[in-house]
Amino acid sequence: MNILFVEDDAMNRRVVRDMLTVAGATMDEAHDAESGLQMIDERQYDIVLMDLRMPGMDGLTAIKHIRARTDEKASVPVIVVTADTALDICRDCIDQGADEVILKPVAMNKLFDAIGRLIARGNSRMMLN
Amino acid sequence: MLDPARALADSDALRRMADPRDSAERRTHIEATADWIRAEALISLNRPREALKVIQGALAAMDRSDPEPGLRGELILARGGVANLTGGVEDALRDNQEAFRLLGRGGNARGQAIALQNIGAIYADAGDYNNALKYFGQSIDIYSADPKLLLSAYNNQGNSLFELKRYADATAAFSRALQIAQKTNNALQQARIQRNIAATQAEAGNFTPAEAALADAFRLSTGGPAASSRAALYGVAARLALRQHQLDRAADMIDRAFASAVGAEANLPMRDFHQTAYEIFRERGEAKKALDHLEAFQKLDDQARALAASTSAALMNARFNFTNQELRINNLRNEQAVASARFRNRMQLALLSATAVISTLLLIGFLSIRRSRNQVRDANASLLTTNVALEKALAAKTEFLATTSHEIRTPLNGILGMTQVILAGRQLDPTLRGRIELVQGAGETMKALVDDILDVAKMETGELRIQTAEMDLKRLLEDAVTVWTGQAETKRIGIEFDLEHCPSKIIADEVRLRQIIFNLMSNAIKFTDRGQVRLACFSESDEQGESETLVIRVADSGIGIPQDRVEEIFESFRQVDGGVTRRHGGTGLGLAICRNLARAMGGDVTVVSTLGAGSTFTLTLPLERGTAEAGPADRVAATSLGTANLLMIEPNPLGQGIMRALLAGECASVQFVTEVGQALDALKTGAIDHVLAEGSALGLDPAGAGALAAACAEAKARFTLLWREPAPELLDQFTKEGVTHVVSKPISAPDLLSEMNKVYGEPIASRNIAA
Repeated sequence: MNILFVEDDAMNRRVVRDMLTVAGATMDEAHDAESGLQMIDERQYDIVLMDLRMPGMDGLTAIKHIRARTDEKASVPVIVVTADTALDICRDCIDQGADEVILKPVAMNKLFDAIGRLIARGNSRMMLN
Repeated sequence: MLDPARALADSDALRRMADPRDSAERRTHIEATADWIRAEALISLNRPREALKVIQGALAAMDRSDPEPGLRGELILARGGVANLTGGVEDALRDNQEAFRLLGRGGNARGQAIALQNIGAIYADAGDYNNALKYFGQSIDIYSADPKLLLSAYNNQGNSLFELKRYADATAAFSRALQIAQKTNNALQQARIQRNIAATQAEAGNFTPAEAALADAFRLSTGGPAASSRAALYGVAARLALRQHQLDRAADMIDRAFASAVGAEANLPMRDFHQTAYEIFRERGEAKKALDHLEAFQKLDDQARALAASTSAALMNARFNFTNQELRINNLRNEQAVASARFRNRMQLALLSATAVISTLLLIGFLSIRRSRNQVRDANASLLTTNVALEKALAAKTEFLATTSHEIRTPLNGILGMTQVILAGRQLDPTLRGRIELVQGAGETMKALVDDILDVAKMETGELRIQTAEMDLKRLLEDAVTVWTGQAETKRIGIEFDLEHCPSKIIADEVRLRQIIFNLMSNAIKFTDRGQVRLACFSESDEQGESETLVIRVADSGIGIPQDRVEEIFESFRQVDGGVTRRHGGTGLGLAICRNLARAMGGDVTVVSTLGAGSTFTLTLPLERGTAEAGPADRVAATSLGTANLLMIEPNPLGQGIMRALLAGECASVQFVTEVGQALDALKTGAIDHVLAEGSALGLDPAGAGALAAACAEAKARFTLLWREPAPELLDQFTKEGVTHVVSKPISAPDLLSEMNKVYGEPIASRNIAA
């Protein structure tokens, strides 16, 4: 499974990376939205995890860019991972095209449930192995 | 920009340069540049509102992710200039700060220096000279290559230092400005700066250099554009003469100042003239004239102070540093009180000396009426300013709390994230596990505190919303009992519960309801050292039977609350006494939040308490029953996968996530465990119809698998083993142990489900127990 985490904070990347290790999964990492978009260009991802507040382009704008693509990558599942607790933050993210929103501090089971839901949704005939 | 008209023409020419064959991006950029030049020209022509329109248009046309932050920064800087001209202090401050940031990214230090000077000027307008000095200093540090900018920065520094009565420093700053003005041969600027030096030296009592500077200023302003500043020069001359007790010369000078200032629109120099004039005529014993000037001064001073106060209040709101808000509010209040007191004293002194000369009773009466009227007006104005400022501080506090919450969540993510990762490791030394669990518990508590604080902030600004949906109340309360039983056991108190008449499915906000109930339970256990905590839930109908009320009651046998302080515990940050807070911890926000939440849901939280005997907290809510309310049914054995309560042993958390999604809606309920031991415990409850085991959880141990299969048979549960390509000989051993239903991976989810459904056509099989 190919997962990309777009997040400027090294500690937050490490936390999610180690959580995925527990499940035997690995991920690619982008330090900002611009390079994240470029990596999506170059590789095929099953899941994109996206922080919101980053220097340069913010996460919501990055999601808009992804959804504006004309190829099949436009529909890659995106999970927003944010410490932003503003009112309506979830609705805003979903409105912009995010599939799921997870609040920091990240609860491991919530992260895996969200990934599981999106993987299962994407292919109901997926092979379990 | 020397000639605005020419700049307007340049702007039009530039606009025409935009070639339709250019890329849209380039055209936008050229047009925005043209708009910027146009806006700056309009500002120079004192047409700020037109300039604002042009700027807004250009900003809207530029894309958010414009690769060049520089032009955007220039436009916003120009907009800040407009806001400054039109008195929009908050807009001006915000724009200048934003421009500072953008221009920094574009590497435009000169633009940044301008932004800093603008910010400094805003602070100076508000009378906050220390902050003003900070920004002027930064402006000089960041860019000193443009003499015009540098001159303006030193001159601004000098003015702020003058206001702070730091006359020596002010003179030094003005001298630096003067050197630059001399180098650039700008007579107007030189005259202005010499005037400032003269005024400063006069106040400092250095009359010789003051006279020299003044003479130079007069010399520089004969003829040419500098002539218009002569009024101010006469004002300084009058002041200088007064300070040297040359009253005739002073009177002559101040008369000239007023004569040359005819039509001057600025209030501030006029105010200073009146003040000087009042002092001069008082010294000369011309009471009538003195009083006239005093009144004129007072009127202008009122205006100036009101302006400074409103600038100061606006600054309060716009500052990016929120940490000192409340402190600053207090300071502002104190400053205002001191200023009002000082002003009153000054007025009284002035009037005393005046009345000594004027013996007309009528006039005294007139003056005192006027004085008290002014005082009332003063008090009202200052009260209004304070109220506005307090409201803004409250909003700032909320924003501060939201920011803090965001900032605390980030390190918490590291703490809680890593403890989860460590605890997920199966080969963890038990001692170490205990310690890590302690870290996790502390982290969770900290997260709850941050959430509480954020909730209070949201409640204060009315941002909190209730989102209702159908939920299972009974299960929520059972969860609460389970969670708190462990805590209660360590304190050796009991938990009793009565959920017999508890409605099961209701329409409510589950998250908020859980928050209230968990808070009440947590409090009850926290404040109880012996006895028990009782949780009860039931519904009540009103007399007409039209509406129902849900009642949830948490009763403890704890320390109780004194009768006169019962209501206090619902206030934010309150526990009954400091000692209690120290002993029991917590933010003291819990009950305030509970009551606010309950009220937001149309209910309330109330308490009845006896000191030393215990408290009973009651949550009441309007009850709206769910549509799917089912009566208590005896559990019947599942006849198909669709009616089965499934338990899956899956050690991989991601595997759990995927299976939870795939199995949702395919069976009555799904729960996950990571180890065989947990599955054996769950089977003992008799609530499991089907166990699905991921092969890796069983290892290659046929005996262990056999024990699980036997336990399933005992509990009348089906058992499916999901295994990746089992070796035939090992599979035989498993079969011998009674593991009869093995599904091999890889397999698609629908195929797995149909495989699992097949076992419902067969009797429950086992090696040990016959079906």
